Amino acid sequence: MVGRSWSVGSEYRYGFNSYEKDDEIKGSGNSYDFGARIYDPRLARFLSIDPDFKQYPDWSPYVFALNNPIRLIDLAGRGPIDALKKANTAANATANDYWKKSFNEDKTVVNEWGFILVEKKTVIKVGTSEEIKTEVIVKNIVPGSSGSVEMNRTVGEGETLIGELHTHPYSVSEGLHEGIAFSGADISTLRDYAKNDYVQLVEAGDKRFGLVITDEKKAEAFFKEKSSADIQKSWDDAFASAKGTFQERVKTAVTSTLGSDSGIGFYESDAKKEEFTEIKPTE
Amino acid sequence: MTYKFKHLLLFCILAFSSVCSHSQKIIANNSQMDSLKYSKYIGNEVFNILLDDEIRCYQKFTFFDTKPGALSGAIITIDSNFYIEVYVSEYKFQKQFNEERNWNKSLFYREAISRIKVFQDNKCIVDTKSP
Repeated sequence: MVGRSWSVGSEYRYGFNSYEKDDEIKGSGNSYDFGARIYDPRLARFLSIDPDFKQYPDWSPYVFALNNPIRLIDLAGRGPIDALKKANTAANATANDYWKKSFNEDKTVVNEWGFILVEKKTVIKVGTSEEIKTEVIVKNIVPGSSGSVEMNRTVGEGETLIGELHTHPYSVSEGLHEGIAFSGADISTLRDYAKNDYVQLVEAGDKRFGLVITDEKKAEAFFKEKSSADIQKSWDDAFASAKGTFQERVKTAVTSTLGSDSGIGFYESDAKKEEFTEIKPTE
Repeated sequence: MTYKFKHLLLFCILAFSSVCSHSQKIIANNSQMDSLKYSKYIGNEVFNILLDDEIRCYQKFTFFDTKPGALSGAIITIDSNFYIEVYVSEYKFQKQFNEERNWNKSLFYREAISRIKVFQDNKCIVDTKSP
């Protein structure tokens, strides 16, 4: 019958970006159902606008991943996310769980927790062919002390380290603070991981913070120029002269230490810990 | 001040700076292969490492906290190319948490070292926790 064909492996319904092919109308592989909208790979465009188009006013609401498919992905057709959101999505449930585990019932601190995020590639056999499935997973969850955690950044075969997360719990005697961002030492930790899109997250209870390497050359130059003591001093000086709450002073210390040309972006999440906003240094 | 005493003082200053300069060169040449040298200070009080021939001439001492406000250790800068991070995990004398981050050096000196990292040209060359 015209238009009907079958081959080994054709029962596998998924393709580009792991989304389901929608072969009935346009033929095999010419239409993908991204959930929120339909994508046509021949045009490299969606057929309807991005429901979150207001977040990207400079871009056509029909584009795929801001025309940057190497760096970005399009999650369920609802707008591109960057490395931070990819890492955050993978870390979210575990981060919330281990935030709770950082405390005893009487609100004293058990310890900090930390884990790494790895991109894992696995080969899936589909009929006679093979496909590579890529996913971001949480790995090496380790307890620390009440004030620090020593991460285990060991990765396995087929895995790439893309980020890490640790908690910042404060006990009753420490003021039960939430929303405390990065220390100078946290920033210095990135010294050995200054690769594009590497993400460091801190779980701070009511929100989450992220440091992302946005320009590895600038980040490498930043860490080459500044010792840990230089970074710590810059953080200390900014914290000492900052006004406001403990939370605000820590944020000021981070932005001031990073400056505007370090190649490292500093982000703060909303209360749902889903959307992030960049915090830039004030002039 | 007598002429002789002035000369003696000058000699002492020159001799001391020569020892410090020599010590820094020793660190530059040997630090990569010598984590054992630093491992001997693990479990000892902080002031012991400050008496070390190669460290006592340090330029700068900076406290650091990994969770803001909770003391983790100190960075001892020997010169622009060399610094040592001394970690203390359990505090017996110094109160670890201080929101204003005003820690007391003399109390910190009495705490036991849990880990040492040595940096040369901003690269970690010795970590006593690494195998």
